[in-house]
Amino acid sequence: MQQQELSGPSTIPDLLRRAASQQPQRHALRINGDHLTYEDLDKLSNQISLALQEVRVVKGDRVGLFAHKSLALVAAIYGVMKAGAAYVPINPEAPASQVERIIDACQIEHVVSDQRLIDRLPPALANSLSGIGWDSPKARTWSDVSGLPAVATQTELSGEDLAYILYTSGSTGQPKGIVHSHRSALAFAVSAAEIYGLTPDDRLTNHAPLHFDLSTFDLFAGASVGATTVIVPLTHSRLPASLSQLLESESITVLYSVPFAQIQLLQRGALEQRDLSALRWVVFAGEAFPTKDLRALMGALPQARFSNIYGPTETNGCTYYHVDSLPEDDSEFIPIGYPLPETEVLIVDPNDQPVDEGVVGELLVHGPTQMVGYWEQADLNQECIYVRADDTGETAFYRTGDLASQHSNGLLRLAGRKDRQIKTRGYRVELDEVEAAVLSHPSVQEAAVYAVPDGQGSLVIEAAVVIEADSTDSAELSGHLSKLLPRYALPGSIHLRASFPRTSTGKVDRRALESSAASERGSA
Amino acid sequence: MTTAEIEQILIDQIESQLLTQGDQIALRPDDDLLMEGLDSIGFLRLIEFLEDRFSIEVPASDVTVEQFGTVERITRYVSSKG
Repeated sequence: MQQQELSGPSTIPDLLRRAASQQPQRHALRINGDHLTYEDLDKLSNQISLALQEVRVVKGDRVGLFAHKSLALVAAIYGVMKAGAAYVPINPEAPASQVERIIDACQIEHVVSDQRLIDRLPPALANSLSGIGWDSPKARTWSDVSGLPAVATQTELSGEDLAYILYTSGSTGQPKGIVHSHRSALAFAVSAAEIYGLTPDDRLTNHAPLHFDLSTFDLFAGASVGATTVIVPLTHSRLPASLSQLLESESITVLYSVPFAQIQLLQRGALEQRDLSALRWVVFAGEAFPTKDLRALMGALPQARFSNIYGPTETNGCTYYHVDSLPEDDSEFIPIGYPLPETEVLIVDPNDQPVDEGVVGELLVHGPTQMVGYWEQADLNQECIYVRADDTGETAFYRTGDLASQHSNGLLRLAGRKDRQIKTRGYRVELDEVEAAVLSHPSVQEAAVYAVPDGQGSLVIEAAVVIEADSTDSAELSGHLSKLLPRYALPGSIHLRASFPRTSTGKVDRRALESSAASERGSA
Repeated sequence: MTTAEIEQILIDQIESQLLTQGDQIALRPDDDLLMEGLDSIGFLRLIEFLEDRFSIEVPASDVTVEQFGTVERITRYVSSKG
């Protein structure tokens, strides 16, 4: 047993090598009808790692991936890692200023990109970069890459080496780079593959952008069993009827995305016209799935099982819950379930003392999927860790900032964000619970609840909602809420909106929403 | 309404209101709208605009890459409905 463990994969490229030797001809990746087999992917990533070494990428470097998704870009993930570097995905749709901030913060000198995107960068920045994918004396073109020998490079890698760094999106301040090692990336991939019983016959989607951690499930859990990952082009992820076409034509077995994409699929995906009989898992993560919408989606896709993965980017997925039955009450959250193998959770009060069963406190997580830390931010690295010392030694738990409770059978339930717990007129209110109550109204499609200063030193709660056209109004919604919430937790005003702004990862852009509400107040 | 007129209305609408990037983009009829930064919310607004401006109904199942991926294709779709 011990020996078997030693010979098992210890890095992400090990997963690829194993799949390439066991089933070289199986499709590893597909996009728009094009594909790479595992053998192709292994060879192309070898060539990419050679090209990166030619432009002086060395072990420990960070290489930016700044391009739209393609077969070559995913091959570059493996190529970067084979060259001993960590990959840093940069949203190709981000404004140049944000791209520059990430490149600065992470001291990136090399990128895999394309001519069009490089041309959009400030010339000084563009000229400072070397890498693959555009025309420059400091870069290699893809045709240069294809001329290189496809032999394995000799860079020694271990589980402790850095695999990737993900930057939090949309931040106006200093970007935060979340660093994962091969060990933490692998731990999540292997556990996830086990939990969903993935086999080489599975066909997963890669719906999430590469700068969003959901993508590591699609790519690495898939590669860990030698399954096929179908990259969803931007075109299809944005048009639900095209996404459902892809699910059908590619015989997708595992769909993984944020709830928003799945709700869009339900509302505009023409699901009744598609044969999705191959679909066996619909997995969601990233934000809460409104119970009412999940009920409807489960009704529309009775052939599939549904599952919730929970975990901040800092911990990867760290708990999961298979939704075999739904809460009867639509204002109740879907549980986040149970910790992954070898993962331990603690729920503590504001003094870091463990709380009793069923009591809400901050959720702390320790486990093999945990990040190495934030890139060069020592103060943050201290703040986010709680160290438990007992006879077994010291254990570092990550403070998720999420509120949760644990119940008799170990089941975990989320109760919102710690920083979304407010006091109004002396009462403690969980904004996320108010939000769940708003969402439970049958006509409400989306809701965001936030607190704003009332000008008298306290906070007042407001709600923004997207409703089905002319189906209800603020007064009727208020009536509904007064049946569910105590008086002090009722929103002081309810704003009806046509749609919500979203971040590049598909989550509600709360900052944009709140600032537009604030400017409306200012101009009113 | 001629095809050229429909095309110009669409280009004006998408350029002025829907592109999320601050860059100045001169949209061409065969540009891939999704690669130009039109996101899912932008698409929903575009559909609402089409329904209002051209008095047509656009069922969800019609909104695919084949029919809505470029201004040219949307123009063809709108013309076929008119």
